[in-house]
Amino acid sequence: VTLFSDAKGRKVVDLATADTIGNVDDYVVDGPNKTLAAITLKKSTKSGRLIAWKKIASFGTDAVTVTDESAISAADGPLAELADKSKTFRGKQILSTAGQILGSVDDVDFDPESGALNYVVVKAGDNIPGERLVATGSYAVIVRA
Amino acid sequence: VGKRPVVTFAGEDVAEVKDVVYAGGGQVAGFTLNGRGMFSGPLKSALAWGAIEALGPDAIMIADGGALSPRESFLSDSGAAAAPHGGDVLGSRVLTTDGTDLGKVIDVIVEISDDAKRRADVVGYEIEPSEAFGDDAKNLLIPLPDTIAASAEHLIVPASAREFVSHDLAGFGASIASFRKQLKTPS
Repeated sequence: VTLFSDAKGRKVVDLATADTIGNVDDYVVDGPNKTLAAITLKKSTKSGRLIAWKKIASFGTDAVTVTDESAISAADGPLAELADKSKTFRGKQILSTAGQILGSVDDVDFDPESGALNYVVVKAGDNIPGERLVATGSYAVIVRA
Repeated sequence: VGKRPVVTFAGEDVAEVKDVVYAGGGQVAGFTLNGRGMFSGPLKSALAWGAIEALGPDAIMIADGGALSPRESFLSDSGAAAAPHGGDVLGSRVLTTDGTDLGKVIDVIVEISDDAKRRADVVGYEIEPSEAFGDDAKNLLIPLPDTIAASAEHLIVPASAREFVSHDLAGFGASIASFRKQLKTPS
């Protein structure tokens, strides 16, 4: 159980070379699957700044490890769609399927092993369990009413 | 309802409400739409009532973009094309049967029945009041009878509707009930 704000800035280490290849910057949410789809890096030393969740070897308390630098990629395929800037999860308004705005995304609490979202921390509202997530769009994050 | 965004379950805003289309008898057939954003004009598609998943306070929810139907076929299907007022409610003047202009319609108040058919009735208008209410009047809510006459220009309400206007939604439900009851009782 980890808050994303706690993980932000954590270093990302390449296990093959033992080099730090960047720092955790932001996360990409897969709404329909209620999981983290990827993390993005800042100060990435490689080309690209996206690491798909399944390429992460371990999301540790002090560092995130990847088996080798090929884990970093530019956005492509379905991940590119999720990682689209307009869909940035943090700060997005949350709209229920009943058409009511419930607040905006402040943080997410996730399982560092599976990447599953435990709950969404809502600014000016109650926390929303991850299983209520329906989708993330450019206009709003949709949650079940 | 006016200008309320139409949002899909994927979280994309695809349109916003331009105007209400009546099916007759004060029932809502659907909405005509504008595009989103400052410079977008009317869309060639419309939203039928049956395609709406939820009418919320902050957005109208639809399953996906497929819920929108082409505007022309929607208007003719709903029979609204025959009636010239189809999609032309917002901005119309409200006139009482005794000829007083109450003001301009700026929004509609929709009541959704709880039964399985989920019928939506327009039960009132929010109006920008005319001089009839004095100079400093704020926007008013005005209850409607079960059936109303409407043209592209005017919406007709009984003269007595004037006595049932309210300033907020809180007292509005009671106001509709007593207004409609009064209409049914021969005086």
